Amino acid sequence: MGSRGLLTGLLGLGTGSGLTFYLLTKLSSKQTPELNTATVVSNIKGEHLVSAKINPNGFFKYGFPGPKHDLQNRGEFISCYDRQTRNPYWVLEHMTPESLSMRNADRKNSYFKEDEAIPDTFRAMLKDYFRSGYDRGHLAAAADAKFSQEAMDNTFYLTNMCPQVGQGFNRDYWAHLEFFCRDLTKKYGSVRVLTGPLYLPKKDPTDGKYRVSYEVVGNPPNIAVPTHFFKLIVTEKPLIGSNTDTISVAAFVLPNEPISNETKLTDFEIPVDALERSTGLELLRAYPTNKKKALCKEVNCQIVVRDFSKKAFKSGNKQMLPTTATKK
Amino acid sequence: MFNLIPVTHPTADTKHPLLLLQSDQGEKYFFGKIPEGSQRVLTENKVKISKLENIFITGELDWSSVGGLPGMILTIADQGKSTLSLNYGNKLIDYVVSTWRYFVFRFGIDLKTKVLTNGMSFKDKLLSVNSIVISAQDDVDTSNIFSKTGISALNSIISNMFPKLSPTTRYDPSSDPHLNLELPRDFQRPQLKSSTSYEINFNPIRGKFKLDEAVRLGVPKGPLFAKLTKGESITLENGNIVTPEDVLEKERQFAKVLILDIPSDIYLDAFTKRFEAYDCNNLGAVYYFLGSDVNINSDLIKFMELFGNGQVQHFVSHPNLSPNTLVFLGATLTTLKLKALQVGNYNIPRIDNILSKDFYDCFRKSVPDGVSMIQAQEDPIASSLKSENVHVYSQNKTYVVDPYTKTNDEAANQSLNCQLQDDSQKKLNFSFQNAFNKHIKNLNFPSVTYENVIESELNVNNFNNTREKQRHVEVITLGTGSALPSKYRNVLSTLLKIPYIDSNNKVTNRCILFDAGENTVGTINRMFSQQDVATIFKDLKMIYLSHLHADHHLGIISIMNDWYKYNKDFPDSVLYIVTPWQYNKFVNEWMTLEDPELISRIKYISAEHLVNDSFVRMETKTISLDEFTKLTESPSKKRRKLELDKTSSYRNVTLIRQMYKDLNIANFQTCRAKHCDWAYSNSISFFTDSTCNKSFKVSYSGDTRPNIEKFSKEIGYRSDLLIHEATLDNELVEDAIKKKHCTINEAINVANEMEVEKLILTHFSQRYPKLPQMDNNITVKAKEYCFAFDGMIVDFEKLGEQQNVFPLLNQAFAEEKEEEKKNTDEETSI
Ligand SMILES: [Zn+2]
Ligand SMILES: [Zn+2]
Repeated sequence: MGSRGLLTGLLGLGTGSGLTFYLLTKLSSKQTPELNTATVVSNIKGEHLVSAKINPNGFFKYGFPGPKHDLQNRGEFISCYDRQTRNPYWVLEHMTPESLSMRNADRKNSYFKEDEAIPDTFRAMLKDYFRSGYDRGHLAAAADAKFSQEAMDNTFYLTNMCPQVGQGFNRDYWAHLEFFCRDLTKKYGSVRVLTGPLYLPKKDPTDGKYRVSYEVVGNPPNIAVPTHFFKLIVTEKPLIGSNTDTISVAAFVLPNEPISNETKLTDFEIPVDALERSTGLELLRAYPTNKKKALCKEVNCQIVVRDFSKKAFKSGNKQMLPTTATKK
Repeated sequence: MFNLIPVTHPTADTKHPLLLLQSDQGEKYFFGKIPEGSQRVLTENKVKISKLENIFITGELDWSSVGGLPGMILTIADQGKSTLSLNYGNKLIDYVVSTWRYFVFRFGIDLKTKVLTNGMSFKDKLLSVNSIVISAQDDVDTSNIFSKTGISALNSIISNMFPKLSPTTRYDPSSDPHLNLELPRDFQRPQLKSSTSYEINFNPIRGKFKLDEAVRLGVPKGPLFAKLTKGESITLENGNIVTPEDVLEKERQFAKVLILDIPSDIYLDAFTKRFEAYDCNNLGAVYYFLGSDVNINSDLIKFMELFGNGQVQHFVSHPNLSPNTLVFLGATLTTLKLKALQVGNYNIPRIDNILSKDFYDCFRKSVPDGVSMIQAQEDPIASSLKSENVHVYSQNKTYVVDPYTKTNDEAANQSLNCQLQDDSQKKLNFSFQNAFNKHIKNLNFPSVTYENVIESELNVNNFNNTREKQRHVEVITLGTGSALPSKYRNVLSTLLKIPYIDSNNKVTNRCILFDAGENTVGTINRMFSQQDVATIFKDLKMIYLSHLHADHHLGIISIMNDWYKYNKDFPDSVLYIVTPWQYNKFVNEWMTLEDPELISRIKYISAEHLVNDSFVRMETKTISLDEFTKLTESPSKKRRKLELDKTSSYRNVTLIRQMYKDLNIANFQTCRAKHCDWAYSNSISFFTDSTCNKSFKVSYSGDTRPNIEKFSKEIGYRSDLLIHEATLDNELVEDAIKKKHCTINEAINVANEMEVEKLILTHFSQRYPKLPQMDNNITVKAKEYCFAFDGMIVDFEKLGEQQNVFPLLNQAFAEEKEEEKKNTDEETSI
């Protein structure tokens, strides 16, 4: 639970709290060279390299090591896979009032499947999840892709999955957060959500140092269990008011552990730059700052637990059968 | 003028609404429920109860509704109050009060129960209260639930629980033949499904006598004046008739008020039927006290619409409506200060809850940012009620009823002269940031910042939260005060977590409660998220009660009820209770009012049966109802002494063995404490892994004088942990002898003689709420020790860390000390 509190610490600037420090300290942002060519030009004078007889580029003739980011467009979402952790780096969804109003799919017809596009060596396997104690947690939710059975089926690729704590998280608080995202289409003509795992450092009580520690499931160990998950929400085209090119943005980081429903969603909100520091991703940098608004000032960022199971006991109302809440 | 002031609203600390009705002369009446924590709310808000004569209890009778009543009765009696009446809609109230006979008895208070069956009224010079009793099912008679014998037994018990004079010798209710009497249990469960509500009518104020006018009309001074003021017409000598209207100002009236208690949805039909044709004329306000199981949906709103629109103000109380505001601010500040010094040892009180989306949307109430909501139906509710007339019931929302003069306007336009004073924002404005800035920042403790102490700790549970702690014994001192709940310390309760590591290296937890004073459950709900509360209750295996003093056990029934809530679906889980035998009688009697399944999951072992003595003291036999009838028929044969129950001296070895096995206990012993009758200290050794080589021995004193021979040298010798009462400061040794408690030095000495490894001191006198005496005590031989504070979470391996901050603790509470001094000054000046 400790990490949850650390996250709220992210809101404060210049704090002594370790994680905050970690996330907010400016990491040196030297431009990493593009590694997709077989020759990388160095800034050292060529004559020195010649006399020293060295040429690092020579290695590439044996094969370029990567890393390779497997990108897939799955219709409702695009995923980017991390071969080291066997988790996505992120998945990127798009929802509209239209896409969510169409009901052409049933999750009963979908089944979990490995992504054959990923080489065996790096692939997340179904057997890794078996008896791991974790849910195969969708990052792009199945319920977000009801407009077509094929689109929904696509959400069941393991490249869209992370090991998530089931009870209290994936099936509860996280599901409510996903509902919150879908519900935004009642107010915005376009909702974009970037979702991904995090492996955050935690203070070790024995020596006070920060360490990253996460479980790896599978035998042999294969899939990393993220300590946290993030969602970056971008809404466009507000349905009421001026349809400007202003966007509204909110970022949340939640721990991969049971979260009580009464916990405020805003307790998990962090600034976008803090999310950049912890993910290493560049987020919304191409868009002018003055056109970005805080989503949680536009709408109340809260979860709504929909429980329609408890119908009032009314003798005259027997025909009102309990309807079940939509579960993802 | 009358004020309706909410004393409690549903929160983690106080489960139900309690409403205070106060006249401008200060007369007081309580309406609603008396949840646990109520009397502490009165203390916190300095509500004086000297002018309280009547409590009108609403709803059904179960522990969650009236669990705060026994404690409140004791406090009221100790304040020297002489009369108090409990009003309720049927005779069950007598049964309820009678179950408390083994531990609630006071001399000099005239406590009465008054049964107001449906339609009956309570009347006094200010008002009349009409009782409205509604059964969940039409065909069940909920008014006559006891036989004649039963009724006379109950009456006899209640009159003997509160005698005028105190007896001269030591008093034990269980050996009093008037009290140790069987209770009638002949009622059926459906008969319990009845809810009491009230209609309050204030007496009109008669108009002033217009003296000048009377004289002008020729009325002679004297008896004719009196006749006119009484409302009679008179005939003068000259034959002229003078009517009261001629010489009296118009009568002034008050709006009436309804207090409706709907415990669950099964009542809604019956309530609707009852109020379909209700006369809403002159109705000022309706209070809806809704149980947590009541669904907030269109059916409920339709019922509210029966009371029309007009000026009627609707105050709705429900756990999903009222804000979970901090009720005990003094205690909260204490916790925050202590946390500033030991961040990892306290949780930030949780103030979030889940609000009804259906209701807040329907009546356009503003929802604070980020608050979670629950939605009960797909379609939004539409209501004809005006949003501004519908209010979330909460503290600081006072409804003021002023008199008005009836005009000839249409009823709907008649102004009822009532208004709402809403100061509730004040409470809602509380923020940890402000509390920190105001009370902690200025203490200038090293490396204490808002970010460290509060911000990074929100939603953090410091109990059992690391892989390291999962394998350590942990203690939570939930309540650490003695006698009465006070501003800074609640009454006693200590929770222990002893992990057990099985052969697969898997850790399972055993949580044990040592005593549970009133509102222990409130403290738990305030400290932990609902997820963590569930875990604690799933791990709870045993409740141990040291003796029958109210500060040690008035919270146990709630703990049992919540335990059942979280363990219902695990048919194999049971809860052991080790208590004095009288408490078990109480549990059996009380549980007829709660879920009937629960009692089958409770495994009771008498604390006497674990005593380290060859002699087991016998229980007294309860007089049966038949015998009681015979005795009352021939009063000459009146019994002076009770028989002893010979079978009670045989220890229940089978069950004790079962408990050893279920809880992996190596040894569990008690010894008789030097306190009151049937009081015990205990010592338990728990196996900590499957090899049965390693064990953890904990000893708990309960309330007692120092007991070197039996406790230190025998059962508790060389304990790993001793939890000992240290009620009084060292100079008050005479008080300690008189009240049979220990001073701090005496407690330390017991620990020294016991040669314990670690020591926790608790049960501090509420007269010194700030800090117990921490310096100038005798040397503590234990390796580590600490003083308990409410809500303190201690890892056994780091129990002594508090010693590092001793010097800072005094500094932290300078402000409270000042307040205390001021209060004592005030007291002495009165
Ligand atoms: Zn006590
Ligand atoms: Zn006591």
